[in-house]
Amino acid sequence: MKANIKQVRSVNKKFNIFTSLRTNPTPPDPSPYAPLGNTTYAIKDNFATRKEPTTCSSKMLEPYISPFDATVVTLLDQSGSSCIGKTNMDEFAMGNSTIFGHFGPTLNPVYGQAQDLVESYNETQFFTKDTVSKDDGEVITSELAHDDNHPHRSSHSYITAKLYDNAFERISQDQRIVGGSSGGSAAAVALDLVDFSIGSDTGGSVRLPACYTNIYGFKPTYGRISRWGLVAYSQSLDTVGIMSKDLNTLWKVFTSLDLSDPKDPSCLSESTRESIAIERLNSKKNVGKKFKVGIPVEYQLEELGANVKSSWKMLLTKLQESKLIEVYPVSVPSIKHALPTYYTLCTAEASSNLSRYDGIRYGYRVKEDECNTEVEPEFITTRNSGFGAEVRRRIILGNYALSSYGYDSHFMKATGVRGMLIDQFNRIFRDRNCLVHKKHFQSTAGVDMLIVPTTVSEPPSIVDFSQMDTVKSYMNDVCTIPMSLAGLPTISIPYGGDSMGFQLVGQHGQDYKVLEFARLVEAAIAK
Amino acid sequence: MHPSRNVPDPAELAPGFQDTGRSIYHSVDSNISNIDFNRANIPLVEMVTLPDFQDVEEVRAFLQTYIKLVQDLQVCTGDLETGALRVDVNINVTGHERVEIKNLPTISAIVNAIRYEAKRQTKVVLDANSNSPATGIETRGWDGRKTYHLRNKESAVDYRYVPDMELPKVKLDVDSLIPQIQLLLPQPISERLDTLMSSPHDGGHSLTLRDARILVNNDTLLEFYTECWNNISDDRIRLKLINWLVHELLGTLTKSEVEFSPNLISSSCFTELIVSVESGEITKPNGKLLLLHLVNNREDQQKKVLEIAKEFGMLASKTADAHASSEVENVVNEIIAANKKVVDDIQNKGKVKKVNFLIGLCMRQTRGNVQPQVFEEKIKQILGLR
Repeated sequence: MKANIKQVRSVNKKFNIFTSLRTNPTPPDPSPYAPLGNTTYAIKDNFATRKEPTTCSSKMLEPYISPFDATVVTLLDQSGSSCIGKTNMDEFAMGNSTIFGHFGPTLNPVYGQAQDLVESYNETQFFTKDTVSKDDGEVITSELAHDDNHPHRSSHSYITAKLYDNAFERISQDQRIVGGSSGGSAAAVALDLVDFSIGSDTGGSVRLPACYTNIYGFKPTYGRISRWGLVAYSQSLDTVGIMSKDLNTLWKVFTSLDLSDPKDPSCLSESTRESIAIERLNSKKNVGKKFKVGIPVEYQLEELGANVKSSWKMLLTKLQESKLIEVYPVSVPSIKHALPTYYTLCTAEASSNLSRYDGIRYGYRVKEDECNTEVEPEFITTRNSGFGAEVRRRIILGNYALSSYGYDSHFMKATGVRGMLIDQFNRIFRDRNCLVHKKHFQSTAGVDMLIVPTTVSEPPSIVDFSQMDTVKSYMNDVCTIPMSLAGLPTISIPYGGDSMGFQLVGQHGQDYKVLEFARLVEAAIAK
Repeated sequence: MHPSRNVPDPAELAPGFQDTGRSIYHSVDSNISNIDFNRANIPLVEMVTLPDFQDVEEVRAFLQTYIKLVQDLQVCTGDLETGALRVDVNINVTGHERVEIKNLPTISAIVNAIRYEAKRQTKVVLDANSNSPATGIETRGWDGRKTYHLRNKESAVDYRYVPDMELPKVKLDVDSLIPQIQLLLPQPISERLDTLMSSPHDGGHSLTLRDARILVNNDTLLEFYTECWNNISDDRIRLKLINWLVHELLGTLTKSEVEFSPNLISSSCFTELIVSVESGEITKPNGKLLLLHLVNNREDQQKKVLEIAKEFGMLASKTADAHASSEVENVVNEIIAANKKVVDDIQNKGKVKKVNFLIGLCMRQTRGNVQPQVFEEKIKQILGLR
């Protein structure tokens, strides 16, 4: 679609989806062969871009403009897609609501909203002097200025929203959380403002909001898509995710981004990709064959809502009747420990990653008169006022897990459980984990896919969520976390009514099989 | 006295780190220190010894050997002052808590700090109630004269290390790597010393430990020495090589404050000079003068040593030379006539060694161009000492 700036700005006033919008989004040089020509997208504000700030919805990075583009941004540019703006998120991707970030809440388009949250827009212009790397043609900002005194500078312009002071009071009673942390990216797709959007998924941050907004949300295998330029939260879990209403678009975007990248050491190497390339061809062969679908008994959770349970059963029955699947019960015992394991590991990595925000290197820094420099050189005050409550909480939790008294009992133990979980997943899948040489089954045994719910229940109302105990709010991630810990490719598909979705999960590296299966499921449901 | 810590097998304890940062002090009086965080890709290897040092001198000997080892294997410069190598000492009275001493910039600082700390801890233990542990776990610094408290267990730094998840796993085929690495390693220092010190019958060089160490501690010097050794075929002259190299050449260089370098003199020129002197063509004093001349006038190293000696009139006179012989006789007679008292001492008081004095005077008279043995023979002949 073509970007409709007027409509985007108008819709955004209600739902507060964007941290910044490009004033005049211009499509990259049109090529008739560009696979994503004539498409638009929005990207989560934790991806580095040169044309506007990269804030992570944090006061800490509010003024920060990256000198380089994330690999994802460069690749989408090459594929012909046009970025219209950057989307709101939970601060540093820590959360599952997109409510408490520095730029206010993003609302859920599935539910009614009467009043505007955004009072007005401000336009900001800045100028960069660009250099092109001789090695790989990458464009880097070598100078950045807010006034233009130089003829050779390129000019950039973006608009930001100013919220009403009483924005929270303006939220309608029916509103429910949009989910997070990629809430803005999900809302932009749900409202048809873009063809697709890019999010990041560390523990479910793409799948959960996709489920809450009735769209597709795909978290590929860990390492499939380069994380270069994605601000690190927990880099052993962080993945780049894609959201769309259209599976074909989603597939095309994934194909454009599914490339190795020397800038990201965790990105799968060419040789690993070659070893699993056959899986892409085989995905077509699966058509007409029955997929063996495993149902992990550990997902029979106490918290599972009655309507989720009945929709799950309905979906499986429908797919069985369409002769698409055979259902097998499987067991992955370590799933029971996934939630505490995840919160131990991600907070530990986060505490290390976020120590770089000290007011010296990036973005925000308190003014000297706001800080008693006799006691400390600005960084304690900077970090206290620059980070929100949830970020501070996770940094403290992570520091505990890494401290000399918590290291063995928490961090190492969680690392061990993660290893067990991966091993147990390897035992139930028919396909080989592309990072493991040993295969547990002959090609005929083991399951192809898992089908499990994306959430245990419908999204809580914003009021309820605001009063919810923090640890209880972590429970919203219980269904998505096991795949994050094991790095498995997973797509959340909308099914069963508003804000309900189910995850189709494949073995590590089987991304195309997952996407192909999603297509077949989509067709079966439509019948 | 040794650390009581439960130390793992050192073979298993060779962790690799990246250096996180280093302190830079610009001035002694300034209380500002800068920290250089730009240390990415600077590898850091940590090694822990077993608690088995029995004596301070063992520590010193260990460190000297270890530093030589890391230099020899080109692991690092082994420089303590610049922090290329850092040593922390753990020391405690048996049964009492371990004390770690940091900031030790030299081997003598390490040795002195151990001596000081041993005395201090012993005194603390003796002074205290024998039932309660007198020392707690602590880290101390060294100010050049005494150790001082830096921090204890409560105020210890908790580094909160996190494994770097972005480092790709590297699988090493240790069984095939170790033989390959062994091939690259130079001969161990102890073996090199053995070769230099053993007798020529065993293919050795008969060097003293002191001389052998000088060579082993200086790779270029050892290389130069080996080249010269191979240039000389006469075993007797070969054994004189070390004196010429260490005492004459290095001694001269030390006086003029120049470091040895193979550019100063070519090994062929150096050996030619030694062979000329040791075979009697040039006297030793003249040989020394020629060495100095050759080092200072490198273009002359292209010429034959004997040619240069001839140019300077430095060829040694030999008894066979009749003309020289009569000249020698004249000089000797002259000296004997001028030193009646010494002659008397020699002939009548049995002070035979004073002959050397007369030889010296003859040498001076002839500016060193005649071998001293020639004069000795002549003097003894004239004075009838047989």
